[in-house]
Amino acid sequence: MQFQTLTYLFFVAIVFILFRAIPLRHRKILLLAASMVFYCWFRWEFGLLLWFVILVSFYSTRAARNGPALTAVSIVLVAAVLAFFKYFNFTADVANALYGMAGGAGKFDVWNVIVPVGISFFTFQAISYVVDCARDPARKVGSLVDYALYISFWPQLVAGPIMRSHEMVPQFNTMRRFSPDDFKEGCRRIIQGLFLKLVLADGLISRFVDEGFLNYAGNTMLDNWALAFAFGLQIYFDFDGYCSIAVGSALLFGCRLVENFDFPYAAGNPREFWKRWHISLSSWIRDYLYLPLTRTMVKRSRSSGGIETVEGRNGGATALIRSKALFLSWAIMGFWHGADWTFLLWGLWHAAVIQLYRFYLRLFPAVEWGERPNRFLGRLTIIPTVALIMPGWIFFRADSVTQAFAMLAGLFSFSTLPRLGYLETYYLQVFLLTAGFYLVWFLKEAKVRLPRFHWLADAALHAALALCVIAFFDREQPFIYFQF
Amino acid sequence: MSGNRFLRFIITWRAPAAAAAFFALFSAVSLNMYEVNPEEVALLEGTLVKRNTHINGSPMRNDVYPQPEEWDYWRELLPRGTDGLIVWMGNSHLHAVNGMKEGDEVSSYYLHELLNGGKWPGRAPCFGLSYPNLTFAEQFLLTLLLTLDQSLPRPLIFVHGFRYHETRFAGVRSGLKPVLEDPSVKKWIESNGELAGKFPEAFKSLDSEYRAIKELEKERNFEGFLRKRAGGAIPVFKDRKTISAHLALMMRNLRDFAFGIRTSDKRKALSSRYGVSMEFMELTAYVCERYGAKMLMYNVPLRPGKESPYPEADYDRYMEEMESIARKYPRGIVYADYEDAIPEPAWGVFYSTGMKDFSHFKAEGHRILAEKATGDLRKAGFLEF
Repeated sequence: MQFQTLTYLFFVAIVFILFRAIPLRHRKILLLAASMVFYCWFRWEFGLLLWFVILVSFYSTRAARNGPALTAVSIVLVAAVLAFFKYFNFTADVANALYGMAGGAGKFDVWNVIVPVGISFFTFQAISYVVDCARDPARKVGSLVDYALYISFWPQLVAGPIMRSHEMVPQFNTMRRFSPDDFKEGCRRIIQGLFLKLVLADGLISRFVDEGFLNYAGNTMLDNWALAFAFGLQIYFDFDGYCSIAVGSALLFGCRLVENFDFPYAAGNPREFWKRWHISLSSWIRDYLYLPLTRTMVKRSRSSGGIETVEGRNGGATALIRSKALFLSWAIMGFWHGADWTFLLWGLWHAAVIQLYRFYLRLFPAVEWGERPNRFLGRLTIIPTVALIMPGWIFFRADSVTQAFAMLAGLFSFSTLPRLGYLETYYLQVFLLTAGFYLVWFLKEAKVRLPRFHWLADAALHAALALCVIAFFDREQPFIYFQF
Repeated sequence: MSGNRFLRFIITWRAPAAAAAFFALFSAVSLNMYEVNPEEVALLEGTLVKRNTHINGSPMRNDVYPQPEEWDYWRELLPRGTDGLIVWMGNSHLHAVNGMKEGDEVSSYYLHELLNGGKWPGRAPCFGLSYPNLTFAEQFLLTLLLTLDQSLPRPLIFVHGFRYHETRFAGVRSGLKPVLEDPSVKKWIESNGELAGKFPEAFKSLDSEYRAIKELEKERNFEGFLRKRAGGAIPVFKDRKTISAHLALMMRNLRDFAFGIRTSDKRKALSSRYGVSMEFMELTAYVCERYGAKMLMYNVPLRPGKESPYPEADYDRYMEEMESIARKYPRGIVYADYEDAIPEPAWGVFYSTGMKDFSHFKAEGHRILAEKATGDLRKAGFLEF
């Protein structure tokens, strides 16, 4: 069930009515059942897998003597589920390629393993729970219903945000009272999310991206830059739209999810980008991968923040260890997105960009990018940051490594200037959306408020957004992050 | 409810209530703005569209705003049991009539009249099938669909108007997606994968269309039911495609303003789309030859007495390639150059601005085009049955 369908809106409305109609003590069961319906709508067999992960991670932490060995077994089992379903086909393809290169005739017969929707997200949540319980036994969740709901609560099940148990489970006991403010905010967020997804990501940019990446061989330099920006905007609007609908849906039931985005392309430096982009994932990577690799004790995990690199907080790790940890973490994160070399390269691109920035800081420690965000010059570092971030998206969207490198090289094919290979409308849309993004960010930063009748302006705005959503309702495409 | 609580309720809910009011207002305004006459649609001021035309009460179809559910409708209109069938296919030059007056008709109508008199279907009926900015990919798919339909009369003769400008467009519009999903078309594309070596860009593009369709399949049943219901209950939901089309038109106008584009400007070929469009043109010829259909392919007439609207080198290359495609498939494919076919008096202007319409001619132009096509069809021996 995709969020941008009437089926989903119908589903949420039914669950909401039932939620308010039934006695308090049955509400968690209702949400759990609704989450199962939501997930099994994709394919019922996926539900079994989800329950396997829930039961393994829950009971392994409840075992009386759950020492490091049991924790490790639990993590390995959950990770094995992820590895098998997500990377089996890829590994088999690599094995066949190597076998062929070694002169072997024929190839191994492999199964066509279907990747269950959202597997990367719910396995990461389960792993975070197991690790948190090992670090602090007080984190254990007492009831299986609470824990199962934490893992499977549908707004965050298939594409995050990746929540921590201590952020979610306590909310299940406070979601009982109806709050008009939460309801209004929830509806508002759902409309905003649908607008971002259906109108901006699908309606205005996706055609350019699809066409541009399909016919990449003839692209000019300006085309490649425009496409890098276009896909950067598309994936942002797509994923932020999803997260907005997720946050809004959860709010209808009185549950607050963490925000996954904070105007990422307004980051003043590459490190800050990861405090603003897919925040719950970058903080997961920080708490469970990067900091342990730098031998830093994690006292309290949280699903917000991005990578921590401030000296003195890294357990005295040397620059070399931190660099190794950075590249390894980001390579894993890239691979987590998809079983393809292109995703691995995307992760490494970001690691390289952060590493470059670290080198820069060593040379010019006093001039940190974006350090003075309130000054005009401080804001200018957004430009080089975005210029480094956007080309990385080419790896993310390209169908092959060859294509990615061809398009990257195309970013510097000066001989093709000033030709444009696509409809002018496409470039105009990319420009308008980029300008719109920075205008909204600027208004937020400047804290511009309409002095009077702001509720009226708000209402008019959301009515207009809803109308646009309806006009673009037929252009639905699956959310990009649903495939992960 | 006490006074205080009621007040709080009003204050708390004023934004959603106002949002609903705004929404209703916008809906009413948009519906009013975009209401269309189902028979004649103003394409551009002064140039009207013949959406349905009738010969002795039997309809022919020139579709303007095609909806998926209309698909079966026009398929049913195709005549069967005659000695042959001519399908005239192309973009808006076939259905738009500049300065339309009572009794004016379009090219396919005149061709039918020339061959059959006033009778419908007659011996060799001519069926007009046109869409605004019909892409070459769509022309290929429609040709393939009709060629594979064994219930249609033989010989099957296509008259294809290919307009250079349409090489700037790509893909298959939602109204024509059902062609991709037609079992015969789907099977043909799947079983002719080896042609991907010869037409790589075209097959890549078809593959991408199929992938997009597949993604939506699982949502279709229950979602379709809900959408139908929502369309019945909320008028603005029902007319969403029309609103979306008008938003797209606004975006186009904004683009023209931003880039200073005028209708008389010379637009360069888009490298990304030109290659794939020409592959689809050749595939159309290939399919016709392979299945024994005949095809008269022509370049859509340009308004004379004015500099060419296209960059000369690009346009010359296009014409040469088109001619060479016809030469490559000599069995049943002929090429005709109609660039100067319509004289200046048969072209018109937009009423309010007085600007010339370079894309659509008057009914007189349609008659001339039909006469030219009749002559060329006879010369090629296609009408000897």
